[in-house]
Amino acid sequence: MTLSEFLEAVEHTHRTIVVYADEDDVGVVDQFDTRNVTVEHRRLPPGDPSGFLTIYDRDGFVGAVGLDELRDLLAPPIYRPWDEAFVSSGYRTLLEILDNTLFTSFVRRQLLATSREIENRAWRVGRGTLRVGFQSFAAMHAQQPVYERLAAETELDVHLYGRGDWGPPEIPDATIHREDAGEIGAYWFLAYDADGDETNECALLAEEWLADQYYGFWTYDADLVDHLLGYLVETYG
Amino acid sequence: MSGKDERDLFDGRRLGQIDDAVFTVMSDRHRRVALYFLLEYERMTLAELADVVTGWTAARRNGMATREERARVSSALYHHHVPEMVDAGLVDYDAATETVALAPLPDDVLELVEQTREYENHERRDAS
Repeated sequence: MTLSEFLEAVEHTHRTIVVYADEDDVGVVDQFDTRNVTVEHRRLPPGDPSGFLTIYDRDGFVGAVGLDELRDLLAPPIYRPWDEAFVSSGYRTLLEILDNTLFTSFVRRQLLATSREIENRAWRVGRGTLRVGFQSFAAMHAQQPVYERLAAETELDVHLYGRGDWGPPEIPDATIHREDAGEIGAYWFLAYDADGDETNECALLAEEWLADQYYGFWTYDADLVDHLLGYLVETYG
Repeated sequence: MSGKDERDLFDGRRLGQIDDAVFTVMSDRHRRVALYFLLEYERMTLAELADVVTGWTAARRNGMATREERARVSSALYHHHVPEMVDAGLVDYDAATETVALAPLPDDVLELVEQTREYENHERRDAS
């Protein structure tokens, strides 16, 4: 098993997105990967300004999202994990509707917002294990204050993964894993077990394939999260 | 829609010829949306109708809808809205295929539904 095989596994969980919109309004769905998402277009009633998507998996209807709301996903608010604003944020529901959906061209800001949603769950539950991998020393360094606070003020077991030649940071109460080569340092990931509370388990896995263009997915599927966590522990400790 | 047509429909004489049951149908937003989509597609399964009513309603409040909300819409359509629309003569329902089809509508009723749709579209554009 490798991290790229987790991406391949999600390619096989098929989604259908039906877009009800005017012709010139459909660019927002170009984000999604045709390997796992089939996009169909249908007409709105004449003159209707309220485009929307309906999303289906193999069990049927998953959710619906207004196109205006979907545009917000592409320019999401960045909260800190402990911000109260998370609780009322519609962004969380949107992430749940679109989980296990492969995206091909998300930018850093979008993934940061999704990462923060995962960290917020960890903050609220306050227990369990959070494993986080970075694609660069700069990324790890930028998030250091967040993980210092998560590790210090909760009972979370925080594990950070990076390259050996990135040097510090050292974070008290967190475990740092360093690898000199391979997939650690090549993927952006977070996986949280919610201390066994399946309703709060979540993960994100993405790879930067062009400057600020990410390919990957997020998931609230407890089995998939457990699988990813198990893989990280077995392979990297 | 020209000013003349609007006067014609709303000067009271023609409106008076429309059955009250039609106005009752038009008083509910989910039923109106179902009618707008049926005017466009003519025939939809109950499941498709539940999908678009759920999605359209979510879009109008700048939001989203989950499986649970769609299940509530579907149940209300099946037990309540569609039977009312059938009773008002606006749609036909085929239980075997769970399909809702637009009934042949008198011109006055068609005009009422279309003008209401235009009004709601304008209202939405003004709000956003």
